[in-house]
Amino acid sequence: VTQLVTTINLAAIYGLLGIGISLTWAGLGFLNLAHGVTFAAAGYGAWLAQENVSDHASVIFLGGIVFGVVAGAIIWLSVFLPLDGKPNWDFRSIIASLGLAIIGVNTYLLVFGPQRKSIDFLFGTTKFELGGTTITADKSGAIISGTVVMVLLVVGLLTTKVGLGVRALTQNPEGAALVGIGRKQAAFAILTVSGALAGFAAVLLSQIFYPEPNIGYLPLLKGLIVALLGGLGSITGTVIAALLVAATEAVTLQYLDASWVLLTQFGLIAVVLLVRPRGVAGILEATRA
Amino acid sequence: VRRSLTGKNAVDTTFWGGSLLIALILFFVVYDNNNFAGHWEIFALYVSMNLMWMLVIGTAGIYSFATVAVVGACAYFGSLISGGSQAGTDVAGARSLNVVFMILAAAGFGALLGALIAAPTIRLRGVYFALFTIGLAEVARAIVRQHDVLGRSEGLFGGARFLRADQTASEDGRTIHFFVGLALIVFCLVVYRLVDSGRLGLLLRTARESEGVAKGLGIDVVRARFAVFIISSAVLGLIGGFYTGFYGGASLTIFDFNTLLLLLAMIVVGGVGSAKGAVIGTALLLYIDRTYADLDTPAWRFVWIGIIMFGVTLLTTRGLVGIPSQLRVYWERRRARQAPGEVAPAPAAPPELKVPGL
Repeated sequence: VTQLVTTINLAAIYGLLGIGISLTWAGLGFLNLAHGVTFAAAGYGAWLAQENVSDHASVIFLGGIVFGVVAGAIIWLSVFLPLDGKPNWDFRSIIASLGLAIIGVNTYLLVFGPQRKSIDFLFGTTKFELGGTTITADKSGAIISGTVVMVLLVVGLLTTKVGLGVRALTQNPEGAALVGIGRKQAAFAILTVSGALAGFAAVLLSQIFYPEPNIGYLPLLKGLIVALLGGLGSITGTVIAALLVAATEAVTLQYLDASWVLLTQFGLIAVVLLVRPRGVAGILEATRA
Repeated sequence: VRRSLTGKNAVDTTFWGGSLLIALILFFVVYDNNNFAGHWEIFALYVSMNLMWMLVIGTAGIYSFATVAVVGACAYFGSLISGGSQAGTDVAGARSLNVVFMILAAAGFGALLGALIAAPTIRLRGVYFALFTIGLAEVARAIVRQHDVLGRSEGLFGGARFLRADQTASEDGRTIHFFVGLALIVFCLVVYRLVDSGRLGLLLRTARESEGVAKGLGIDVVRARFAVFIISSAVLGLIGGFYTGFYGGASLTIFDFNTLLLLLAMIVVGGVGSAKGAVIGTALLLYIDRTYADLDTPAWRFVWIGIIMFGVTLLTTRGLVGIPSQLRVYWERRRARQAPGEVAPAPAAPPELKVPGL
């Protein structure tokens, strides 16, 4: 039960990160390597909100999400708008987002210093028993809220006009353009929603990943692993991949130790990608290629 | 068309000749400056790594991020087989293997790693392969950290070096390291030129543009990709051997993600697919890196590196080295717009792709 709870807890958070990366790639053909910096921005946003406004959980969440959205908008403004439609967009957008990530990490270092910032427990410190295992309020809160946000995202994609546009872009970019779906507006929606999801994940993870300049690196790596393993563009695939990655991490932590986590996760990547080179549910790449 | 190793025209020859002259002048003018000798070693290693990385990422168009992992693993391998230990018994007399044999063995180990890394390219493409390789440095770091024989977090030093114990930190030692570094750069330039401009380079570029067309032409794409990985990784292994030859071994910092970022920034800023770009990008960013590393706020170095990388990516299509041709095209278009009655000359067409034997 302990491993199961840890798995679902991590999967809920990694899923939020993976979906952001996955949608950005599927909709825009843009592998956003500045997603880790967005994660860190949201962590600092949550901390600033806690220190300067109120330590109420809703304010901290709002601070994280707002900073995530702003970071997404900055990426739209500085990477997407200048480069979209230019020669070699695939490679140049990756490199530009990497450049932005380098600037971001080191700007955090200059502004906030190398020290970690602490954020209060958001769901209180209560605990309860389930099947002989103690579950903290933080874990259960992360599982429930992460799942709710993912469901809301899926509902939004299925029922709203913007969601329809994003889905059209992920399935057939040329067709979407022909029927008048604005690529710039859709890109803005994708990047800001991805930013909001990263912000939400950053606040949920703030008890494990305290805000500090380099804090976005590991979540970015996990988000990339989840998005690629899932098959870029598929939310179902991303959720399955998030569960696989989280289960690997939970089992590794239980039977080995933290230093083995990346090794076992890359072992998982090797196995899954060699069996299914386009990820668990990857069909999109075949149509894009 | 047969091209010379130094380049296809007078501009290339002037560039390479001028670069060599500048290196010699800098070294012999700033001869007493110990820092310059240290920077030169790093420059030689980075330029060489970038040239080999460019064969994979530029010529073959495969997003591989295994460069640092291969160099690091081979530096450790070289140190291990030539008497390196966790305690760092950095005594020249204690070495068990000649530095030349150590370097050759490291190159062989690199070729083996190259074959292993190339295997997934049969099935994986694009960003999937990037993900597969981006974590290799982290995997190598985790393996080193878990094994005493690899020195864990303290590093593995005491391997075979280019210098005798009495030569370290001496004028002779610095001179030897300068020419060893120069030899490494020249060797890597020759390998780059031979592969990039040779038959293998043409096959890889064809496969990069369209794998389907390449296969239709009868090109064995898998074999060509294996070949470029094995060649570049063998030379990366050699560079790892040189790393051990310079410093006596390696520590975990060799696998730093920041090193990978810095190398990528150098390639991108200079211009992917150009040996001149690799030299210009490495020199420029290493200068910034080293200048700010000595200041109170070293974080500024990566801010500037990020800004340059970001700016160059946004404003240029082929890095700094591509600016002249980009400006030429811009002026030609501008002239054509100003004189609508005249037919503007078309921009120079890219050279026709000819694959020997087809």
